[in-house]
Amino acid sequence: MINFEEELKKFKPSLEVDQAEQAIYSQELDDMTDLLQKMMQEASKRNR
Amino acid sequence: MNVYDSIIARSNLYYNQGLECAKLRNLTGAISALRKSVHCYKGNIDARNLLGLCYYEVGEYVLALREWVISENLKPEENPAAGYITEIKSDVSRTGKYSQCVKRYNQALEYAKGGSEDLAILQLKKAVSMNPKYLQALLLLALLYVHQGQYSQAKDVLRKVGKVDVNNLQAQIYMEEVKQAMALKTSRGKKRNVSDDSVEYKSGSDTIIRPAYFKDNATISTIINIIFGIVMGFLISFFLVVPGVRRHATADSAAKLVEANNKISTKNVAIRGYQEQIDELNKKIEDAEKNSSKSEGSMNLYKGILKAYIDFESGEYEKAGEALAKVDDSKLDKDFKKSYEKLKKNVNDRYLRILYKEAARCYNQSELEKAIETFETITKIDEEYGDGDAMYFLAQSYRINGDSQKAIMLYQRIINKYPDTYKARNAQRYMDQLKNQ
Repeated sequence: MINFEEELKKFKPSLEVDQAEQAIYSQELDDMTDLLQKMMQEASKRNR
Repeated sequence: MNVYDSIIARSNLYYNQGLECAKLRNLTGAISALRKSVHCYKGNIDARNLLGLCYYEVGEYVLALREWVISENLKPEENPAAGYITEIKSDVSRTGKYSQCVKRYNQALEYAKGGSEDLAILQLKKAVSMNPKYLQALLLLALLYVHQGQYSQAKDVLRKVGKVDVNNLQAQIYMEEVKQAMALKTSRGKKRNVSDDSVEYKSGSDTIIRPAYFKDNATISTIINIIFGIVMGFLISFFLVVPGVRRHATADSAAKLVEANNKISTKNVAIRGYQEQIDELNKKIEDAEKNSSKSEGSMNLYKGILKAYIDFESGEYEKAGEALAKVDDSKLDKDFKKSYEKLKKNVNDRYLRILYKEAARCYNQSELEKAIETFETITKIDEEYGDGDAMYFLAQSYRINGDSQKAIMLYQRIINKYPDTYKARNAQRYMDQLKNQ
């Protein structure tokens, strides 16, 4: 038996056309390679 | 293999998984794998482009656009994302349709959260009719149908979801719920009494529920139906047909009235024209009559002159003088006037001489009335005839005949006109005598 209220919470409003620009700018683009680079920079700082 | 290479390899692995899922139309799975792929390595252009395509397929155009724009920025050249973006931008009608679709879905979501499920279903039906692959709208519609117990409709919608996205987990959960509910309903339905039963069948996407059979109260219902039909027929004819006939008749009358008015106007114009013609002809007649009377007058004038001339030539100077006396010489033409004056002078010379002779005879024989009459005729023609003798003897005749006033008037005129003559002196003396009487 599904819980209607809980299921309803899963639905989010779709982005409208005028929100496209905002959606692009707010997109988090850091990937694992960026994280790796940050880790390496912090490690080299600690070694100094 | 270093860490960097292993991350790239991991990204490619997720991309391959996503590609496999997409080929099998497992779009939810594909989106999940491809998102992981681009999180591992944002420069995986193929994965990002495919992610955009998957979003596009499930109706999330803005998310698709977002992925393609990022992809194009990361790799501006030889990137199919540029083509996708251009295609979307060029199709304005599709963009407008998508915008409407999304607005309806968002509105429906608000209605559903606010408890207005019927309104939400209406909005979602419209959204789905505009974009049958709009996954979120389909799933929400299915959920609402399930919640309202409309399992058949929910089942249909979930089948459509299955065509867009195979193995959608949410859809599978709802479908399971629907199957259980329908099975339960079927088992309950078998227990029902036959008399309470109803028949349920599908017409397109709608489910029709009607009583299993109809009770027929044949005779009474037939009579009632006939009476109802007659009453309805009467009412329809009274409210619909009669006003139409009246309106038609009124329109006909109005048209005839307009036509009659037009005819009257036309005839009035014709009558006015005829009246003008009559006036014109009357004027012509009047002019002709005037010309005719003028011609007649002229004719009489010249006849009188001609008679005077004939009388003069035949020696009847008195008749000639009388005829000329009747002529109104003011109406004579200028060319003819000279001849007329010559004739008049000749006639009058003779005529006045005869008259004066006759007047003198009457005066001498004391026939004063006749003398006065003749002298008056002479002075009318020529007041100064005989150097005023005619006027003098007329005054004398008046005095002797007892008409003192006329006599005094003429004496005064003689005194004024012929001063220092015997006639003036005599006139003065007689005038004094008359005044002293």
